[in-house]
Amino acid sequence: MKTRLRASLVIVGLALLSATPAAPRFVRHIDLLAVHLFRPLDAGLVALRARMSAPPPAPPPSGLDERVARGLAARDAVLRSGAEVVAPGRPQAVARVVVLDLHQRLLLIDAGTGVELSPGDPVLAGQYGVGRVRHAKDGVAVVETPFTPEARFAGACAGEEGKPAVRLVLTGLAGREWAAAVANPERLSGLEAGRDAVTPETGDLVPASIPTLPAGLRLGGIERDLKLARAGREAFCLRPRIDLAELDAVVVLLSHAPPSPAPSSFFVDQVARLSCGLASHWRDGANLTGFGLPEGGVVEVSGSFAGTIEAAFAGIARVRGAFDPGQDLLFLVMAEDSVFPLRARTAAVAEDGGDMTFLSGERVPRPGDLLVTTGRGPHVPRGLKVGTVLWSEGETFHVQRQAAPPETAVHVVWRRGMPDDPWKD
Amino acid sequence: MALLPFIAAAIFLLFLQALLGRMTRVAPELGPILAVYLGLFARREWISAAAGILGLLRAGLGLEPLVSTVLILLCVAQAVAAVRGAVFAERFVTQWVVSFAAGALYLGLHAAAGFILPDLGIGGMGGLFRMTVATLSATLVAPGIYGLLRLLRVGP
Repeated sequence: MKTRLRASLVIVGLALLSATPAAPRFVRHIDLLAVHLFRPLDAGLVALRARMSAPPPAPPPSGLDERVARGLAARDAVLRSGAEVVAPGRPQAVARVVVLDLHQRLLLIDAGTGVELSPGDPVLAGQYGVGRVRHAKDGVAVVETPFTPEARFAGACAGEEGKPAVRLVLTGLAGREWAAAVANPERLSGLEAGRDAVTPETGDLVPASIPTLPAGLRLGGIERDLKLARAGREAFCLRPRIDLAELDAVVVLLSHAPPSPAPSSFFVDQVARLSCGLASHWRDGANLTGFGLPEGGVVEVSGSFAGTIEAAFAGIARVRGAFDPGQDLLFLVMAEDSVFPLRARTAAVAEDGGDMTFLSGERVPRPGDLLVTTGRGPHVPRGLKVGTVLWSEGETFHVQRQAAPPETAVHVVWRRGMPDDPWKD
Repeated sequence: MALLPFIAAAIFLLFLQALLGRMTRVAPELGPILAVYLGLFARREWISAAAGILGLLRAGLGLEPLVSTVLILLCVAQAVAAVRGAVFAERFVTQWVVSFAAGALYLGLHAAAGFILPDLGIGGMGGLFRMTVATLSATLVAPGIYGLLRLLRVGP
């Protein structure tokens, strides 16, 4: 009786352990081993499917690559616009935003291998000051913002016409909300809710050796701190004017000039796709074979984003499809007249792509708009085609991916030399 | 009846199911059917261990998440075991009805698990539809499988 009870407990414990990130890889991905059982059937299934498959899909419309390049250049110009005003001539690099730490309110950015980022380098997006580099390694950096708890930033609240600006200190508030406390204002009476805080001239206060953000960048809007106001205290806080969750890339003002031309940060490897390796017969998805594939690596078919590697073990990688439901993703929308970031949730998978629900962004994408990746994720390059919007109705829109025959070569893309734990100094 | 022949039979049936599913994307879901078999006919002290092993096999051969598969099959087997004293397990109608109810429980638990933890999800409405068809269609063959397993004296 005891043995049977112990066996049950071991199995349940193993199952529970497999759901935790602390579990060893062979426990977490034990199911992937079974793919090897079905591999001998691959050749037969490939031949069968080739015989039964429909005629090859139509070639992709020409000019898509040029459209993506044009759109990225337009987006980069918007991001660089502030840097050209506040620090003309200073070397700069566009870095993709890899991850946003919502708890600590930090950003992980990637400027690419070969670009030397230094602690204190200012980070901005258009006219907005985003923060400064806390620490960096191999082109990847952690950026602290004025909203990061324990970070200290100088700010200034512009006064009315003719009145001088009030300088102050911004200190991130604890909690999940993106807000910074306004501390040590030069004159409390000079602060006014609704006005913008900008980066001030601090030459008379701070020695040149201490890194500061260039003067004139917008940091956010001054608001009354209602929590403290209830306690009878006159206090103010700062909230960002831009949604940092929608920030696709930033511009870093560098201390050293970047190499020219910049070396490629991404490594591309051709891998095999298992024809019979569907994750299970009711789960959408696919499996790939190949040793050393990184989790989070991007699967690319015919130049389009097909998904990311969810798990890899013992020569098998399980892919989470680009349109698998329930994912909150950030895209760059390349419309005829503008380029803007968009947050959307994948709602349903279809043979030719999938449905998505609009979460936030400038507007719901319209038919004909092209969606590309922004670079969110450690191994996701910027500007990889996702699909074209076919129709939109209310908050829902359908994205059609580029069709590819089953035999099309599959590539896995990953960033070279990504630090193991880039958050740690 | 012993555990090892049951494991061998489960491996054979689940491999067959996974193979059919990969080739056609339609295959009866035999996981809950085998859990019902354990719940109805296995010795009570063996049910948890055997259902856990069944979950391991189902997850391994069907590329399902281990945690949800093991726990859900364990729940299904124990739920059936809880009612077996009140039903005539040998009757075909009972086997159909219990398999159907267990299939519905299996689907409900999977849907709930997918709702709570999206990583355990079953691929949206399309996946849920395929799973419903697979699970409920399996109840049609359940009495045949039970008859065969009992004839072979397979089971703990």
